[in-house]
Amino acid sequence: MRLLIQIGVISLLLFSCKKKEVQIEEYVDTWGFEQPSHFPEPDYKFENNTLSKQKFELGRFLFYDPILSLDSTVSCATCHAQEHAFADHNVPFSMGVDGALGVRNSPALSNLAWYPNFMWDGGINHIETFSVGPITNMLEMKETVSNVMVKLNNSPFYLEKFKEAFGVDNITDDLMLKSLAQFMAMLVSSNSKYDNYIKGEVEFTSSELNGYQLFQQNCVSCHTEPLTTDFSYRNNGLDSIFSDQGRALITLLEEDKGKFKVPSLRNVAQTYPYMHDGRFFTLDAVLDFYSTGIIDKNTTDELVRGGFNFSSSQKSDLKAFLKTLTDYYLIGDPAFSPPSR
Amino acid sequence: MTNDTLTFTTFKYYVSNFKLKKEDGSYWIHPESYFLVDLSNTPSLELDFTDIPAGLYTDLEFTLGVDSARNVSGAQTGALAITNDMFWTWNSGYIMLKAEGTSPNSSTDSFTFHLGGFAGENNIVTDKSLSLLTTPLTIASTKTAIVHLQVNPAKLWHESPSVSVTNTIHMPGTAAKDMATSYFNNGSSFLVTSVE
Repeated sequence: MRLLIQIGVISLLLFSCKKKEVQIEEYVDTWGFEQPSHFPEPDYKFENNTLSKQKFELGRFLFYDPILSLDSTVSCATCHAQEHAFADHNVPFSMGVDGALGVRNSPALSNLAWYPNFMWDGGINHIETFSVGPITNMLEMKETVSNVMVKLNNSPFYLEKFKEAFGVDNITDDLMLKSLAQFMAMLVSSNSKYDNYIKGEVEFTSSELNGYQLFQQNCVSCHTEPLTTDFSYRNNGLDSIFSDQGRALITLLEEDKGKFKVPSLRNVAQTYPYMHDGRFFTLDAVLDFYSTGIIDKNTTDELVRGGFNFSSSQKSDLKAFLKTLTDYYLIGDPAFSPPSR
Repeated sequence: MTNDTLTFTTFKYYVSNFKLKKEDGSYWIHPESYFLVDLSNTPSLELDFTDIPAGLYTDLEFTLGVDSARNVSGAQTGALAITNDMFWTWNSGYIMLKAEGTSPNSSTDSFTFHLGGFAGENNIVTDKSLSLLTTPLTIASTKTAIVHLQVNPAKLWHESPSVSVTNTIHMPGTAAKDMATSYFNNGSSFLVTSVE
């Protein structure tokens, strides 16, 4: 892994007739993949895709560009908006080309460098081939990779950007995918109040602390810290009949019916509605479900059977804790916002 | 055999990781060895190898399909580029053999077989070793040696049902495994017919 460090020096010179004072403020603007000290090693280490500012910026342009869709109406950011922690704009299902509605809730994007698989059903096995899914999905961007290549190769802007980033005159799909992977892998969420608490930099309120203790007692087997997912596929007891077979669509295994990836809870307060189909619009509804709404049937996970029967004060504390997972740095970081040409 | 009448519009498959075994048991290994053979694209039917050390070679070894490593290593180039339309976008992995066409025996008048799978019991990646001993392959600086291989698409249906029963396979699984196995492993498929 490569870390680029750009050191900038701002000199502020202040003069007055009363006294002469010189203040020099030095800051180090680190750019590159920063390994959060309290996180495990990432899965994706930019092998065969050496990280660079040019490739990252190219990925950022592509992420925000509807050129990836059939009729230039849908970009990645259409359904993965920064202000919603890179989830959609609080809708259960996202709208693709021709107004088509998707069939699963658009997940928030962060800490993807740690993910072994992608999508609710884990069907995609690498961050570099991840983007091909939404680009070619008939309910999403409805485009072919070949046609995207034609459009990019006809764009003087992208020809120049790919030349800068990769030194090529002809744009190929692997380079597009690698630059998108760089942008997505850089979306690290590690600056929430929860993270700062773990690092000993802030205190939790008593309610947050109670909620954290309840979380550790009841939730971390699946929502494992610090990434708040163990990347497994589980049936959390939402349904007795599965209109969406979930993980079984990939594995064809009977025991995987109704299982979906355990979602990360990072920025969970910003990313409603919840569950693979966006059926719950509030954290209250989710906590009510885990308390008394779980259906013990079929492949329902052992860990949630019987429900958790949280009291109303416990729910309130859990909710306070879940809100500490909001990372305002990620949501506000200009490095990830729409680029201007 | 099913006695179906099949007209192919597409017949493409991957072969990879070519190696030549020398008399002394050592190997010449072709680097970055991935080929997409497309029956509708004549040049793709000739696989060209250069910079092979002179000598007498006794065996030709290669892989039918794309090895598991390249199925899980992210964006690839050349024959493995996604623009070749041989990659499942929603269930990562290469379509290692694609056979499409029309048939009066099919209820939809068409058939679509996309065979792949690189892991566990659904793995169809098959290593092939063909002996050249009857007519050993001589590589010399003065000429280009030629090996002729014969394949038989009909073998796909050797142990698989008529297109009147199954006219579509679009993901890894038992059906794809059965079909690929009879195509890849049947004795009269991928046969060396002559060496020049």
